[in-house]
Amino acid sequence: MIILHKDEAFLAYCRELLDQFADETNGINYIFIATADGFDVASKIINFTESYGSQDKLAAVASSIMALGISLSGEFGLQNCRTVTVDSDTGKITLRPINTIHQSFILLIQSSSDGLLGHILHGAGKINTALMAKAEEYGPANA
Amino acid sequence: MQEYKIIFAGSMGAGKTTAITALSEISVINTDVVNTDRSAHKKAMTTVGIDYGQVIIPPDLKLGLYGTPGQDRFRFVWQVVTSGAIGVIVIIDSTSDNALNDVSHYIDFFAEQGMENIVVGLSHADEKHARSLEEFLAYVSDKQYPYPIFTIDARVRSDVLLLVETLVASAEAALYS
Repeated sequence: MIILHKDEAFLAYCRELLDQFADETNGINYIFIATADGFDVASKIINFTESYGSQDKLAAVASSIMALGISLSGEFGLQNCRTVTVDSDTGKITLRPINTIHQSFILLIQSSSDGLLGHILHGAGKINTALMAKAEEYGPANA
Repeated sequence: MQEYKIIFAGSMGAGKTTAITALSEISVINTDVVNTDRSAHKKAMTTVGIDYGQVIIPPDLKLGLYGTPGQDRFRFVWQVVTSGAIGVIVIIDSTSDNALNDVSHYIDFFAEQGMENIVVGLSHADEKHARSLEEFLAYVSDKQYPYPIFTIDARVRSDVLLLVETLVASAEAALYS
């Protein structure tokens, strides 16, 4: 089994993608990639707030919520859960699963109320596509 | 129909998801994902959210069975699911090097959350390196934990049902005493 998040080149690529996303998208406060089982992979804080939890805790919480969202959508017969969104008075959190051929990840984007959901989802889609392609460079599945 | 909520907690790989699956009369909702931390445990999958199953104890008792992730980084899940539960079933892998400490770890956490009804199930008890029931009984006696302990096979419905019925009986006795 290939553990992508233990590979330095993969981690550097994740950080690059997050930097690019933050540069191209307005209204983003915090963005990170975690493993599906709740380990921190890469993160970028654009607007720091003291109330933010530790990165490790955020990764664990994000993985739980993503898994619960996928499970809940399955109970309704919905296929291929693409996002889970938390909407509040002062901002949003968007979670997206990224299922590469070797390993599954979660992308979390915390945005202000000004952040445009369409831009955010488009950017999240680009990260998804890029990571899936990057994973294929590590060989076929079950390598 | 009376409805109760029961939590299944315990160390990673002890058999919480297995136990709920063995007992549940509905297909279990689970949040298992691939385990990337094989140094912590060799198992392929791990729970990161909650498991949910259900069983009806005749004549009129419906039990919601809530499984939790074992790893400490998911401690917030243990806190969240505790709300409204009548008790906790703590499942410990008796072959683990850390088995005795695990008993304290989970019992102390849930006792601090106000859980008075706790039952302990010792899984993998038939395996070669399992600690004996006597060791665990001596340990809990020393710690003055007033909770029942059983050896179980988490795959066997009647074993898991024993834990559940013991917990419910204990909760109901407390209600009517």
